[in-house]
Amino acid sequence: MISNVSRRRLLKIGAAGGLGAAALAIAGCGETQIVEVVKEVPVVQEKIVEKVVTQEVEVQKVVEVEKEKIVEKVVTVEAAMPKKAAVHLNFNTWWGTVEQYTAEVGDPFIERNPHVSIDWQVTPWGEYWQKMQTQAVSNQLPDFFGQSVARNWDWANKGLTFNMGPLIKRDIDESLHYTDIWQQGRYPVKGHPDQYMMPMETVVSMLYFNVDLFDDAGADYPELEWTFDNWEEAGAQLTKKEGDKTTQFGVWGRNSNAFLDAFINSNGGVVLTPDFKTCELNGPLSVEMIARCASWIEQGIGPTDAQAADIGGGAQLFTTGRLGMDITGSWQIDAYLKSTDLNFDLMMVPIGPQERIIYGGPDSWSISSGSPHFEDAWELVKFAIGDERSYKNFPLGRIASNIAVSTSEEFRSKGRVPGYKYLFDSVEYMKGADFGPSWVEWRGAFSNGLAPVFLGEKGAQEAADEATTNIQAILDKVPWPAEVA
Amino acid sequence: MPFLFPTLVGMVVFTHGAVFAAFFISLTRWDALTPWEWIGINNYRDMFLEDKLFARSMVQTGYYTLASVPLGMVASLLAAALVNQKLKFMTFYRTVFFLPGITSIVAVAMVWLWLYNPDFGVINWLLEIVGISGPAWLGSTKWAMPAVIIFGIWRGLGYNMVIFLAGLQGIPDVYYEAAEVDGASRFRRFWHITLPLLSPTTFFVLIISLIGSFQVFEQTYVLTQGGPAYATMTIAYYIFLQAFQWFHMGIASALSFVLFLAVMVVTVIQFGLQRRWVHYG
Repeated sequence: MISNVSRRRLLKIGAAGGLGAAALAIAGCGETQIVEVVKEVPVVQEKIVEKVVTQEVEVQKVVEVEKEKIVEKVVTVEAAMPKKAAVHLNFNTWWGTVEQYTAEVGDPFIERNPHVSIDWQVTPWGEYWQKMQTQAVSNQLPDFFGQSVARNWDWANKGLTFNMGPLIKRDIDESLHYTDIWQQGRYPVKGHPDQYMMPMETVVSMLYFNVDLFDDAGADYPELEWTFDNWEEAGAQLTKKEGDKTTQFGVWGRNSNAFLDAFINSNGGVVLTPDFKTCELNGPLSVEMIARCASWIEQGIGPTDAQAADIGGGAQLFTTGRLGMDITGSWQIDAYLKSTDLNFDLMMVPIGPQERIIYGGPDSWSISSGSPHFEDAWELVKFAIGDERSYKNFPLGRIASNIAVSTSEEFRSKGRVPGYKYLFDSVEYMKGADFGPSWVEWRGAFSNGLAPVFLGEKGAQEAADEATTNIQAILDKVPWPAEVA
Repeated sequence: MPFLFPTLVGMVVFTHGAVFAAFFISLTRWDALTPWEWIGINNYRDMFLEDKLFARSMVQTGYYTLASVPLGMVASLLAAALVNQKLKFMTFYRTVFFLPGITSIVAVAMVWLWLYNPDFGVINWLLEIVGISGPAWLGSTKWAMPAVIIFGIWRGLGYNMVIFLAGLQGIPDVYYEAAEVDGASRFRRFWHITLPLLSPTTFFVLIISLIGSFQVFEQTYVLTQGGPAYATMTIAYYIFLQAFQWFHMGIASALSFVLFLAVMVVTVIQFGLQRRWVHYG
């Protein structure tokens, strides 16, 4: 389904893209580049007829002449055309810096597309969605912007974002990308060809461990074949108590999508069914894993959420040397590397009772459905996922969706800790936290519903039952598109 | 009349118009981004029959009101009595009491987050000195709301104090002098002179405190975001979530009207009861 793009609009994109390709080839001097253009000409010209009415006669002629002459004619058309009108694109996101985007993405792109100028903005996460929602209401969204996998479905459902699915099919060689990462951008269900955000890179969860605490406890470092039994045993070794007060925790079972969902899934448990329509959080396999987190609190090897929050949250708990092991997103690597007193390393998330499942969530861009410059925005998106984008522009702890970029030596050596290599191996086991409709809303019911378990105040089954009821009530009100309703 | 026109237009459009628009929206399903759908009173019906979080947030708003209003008024009155003395640097002390009300709530919330920290917060440290093991204030479903209430009282103390102070300074000294001549103790003078003559001021403070407490939002937003486990979810915070996080504008508008009705009912009751205890003479 191409819900946001009319045929006419698609042809325009095609024309612009094709013309761009032709212009690039013409700019080159070698014979081989010209031959490439010859193959594309008939399609290109057909589309130009739709767009540039004044050049219709000339273009029709081009289609009729022989191949050798087509090249010359393209040159004529190009020379006769006025320079592309100046286009100004607005962008906003919450990660990275304006300087980075300008230097690593904007400048190289503008060098090839001099008619484009870009206003890069970075807004802190805490203010970002308020700002974007306000802009959406007043129909003033940036041309393209950072999209959260948690909100992609709802934004697509409200018609705020542009369906890039047909363009991906037309312009992108999917074999060059980790397309599993892209699946989380699909709408309304995974596997559907419509895609309203373009994942550039992904984070995955990793096991962070404090090397000094392991050395002090004489414990073996985490290994690739570790299960959660090993994690629990090491956690007990790392735990230190003074009287009845725990001064150093071994593990932490986080009530967060970067840990808990994959932990439940690794036992065959389910949070939402694959169609996102039913919550099964209170199923026996799910509850077993929630109860296992509670058992770490009961054993005293893991903190309650209150204890963790009191120290300033997970990051503080780990950086202050009061937590031996933590499983959270790879976005944390950068902050931990800046903590000079912290000697840590990384390992892949342990194998669950049934299989290894690792949380992963992409950083993505969407194009606003109301952008008058979506063709140029799409060109920029293509550039950003292409293999010419500098590895420097990817924040630490990210895996580029582009395989060539991700497998480059420069990209892989950014981590500066030995275990950084496991970041890339984790992609194979990656699964999102059921990112779909009303995610922000049902996630609130999930977190708050299970919170009493992680505060040591309620049993897993009781809390899961309550959370399931509340989540289901939210899912039942989802405005499904007709094709999957 | 013509010079009133701009103001009248502004009021009709931006105040009354907004209220009517909100009522209309409360009868629709609308996400502010796509066309609205008329659903009649369904938002109101669902709120009372299906929405557990609505019931819970109303109960917790009641809890906050019942605790913060009387305690806050007593604290403000005491503070006003303290700064209503003829001592040196009294202007400075009054300013100090008033400061919490005019300081950025985000900044003071950061300070309170530290104060409430069970591990190294001042509050638990003081409790430990007297042999009490302090709770995990904001991290506990039991203690999070009391923590928010204490913060709310502290925040509103200065404003109410100034109103009480004005009331206290409006009581003529002759009454106190006459009572003193008659041998009345300080307590009796306070009970029989100050409180009755201060009753119009007390009534005013009560009404604005009640309205403010029903609408409590900032405290929960900056300290707890309604958690943990919805323990500090108040109705105003719930309206915020419905409107600006989940984009259910119809439900949020319906909730706002229910809140408005609740505030109005309580205020009308207070106005009815005031005849029994407020002395304007």
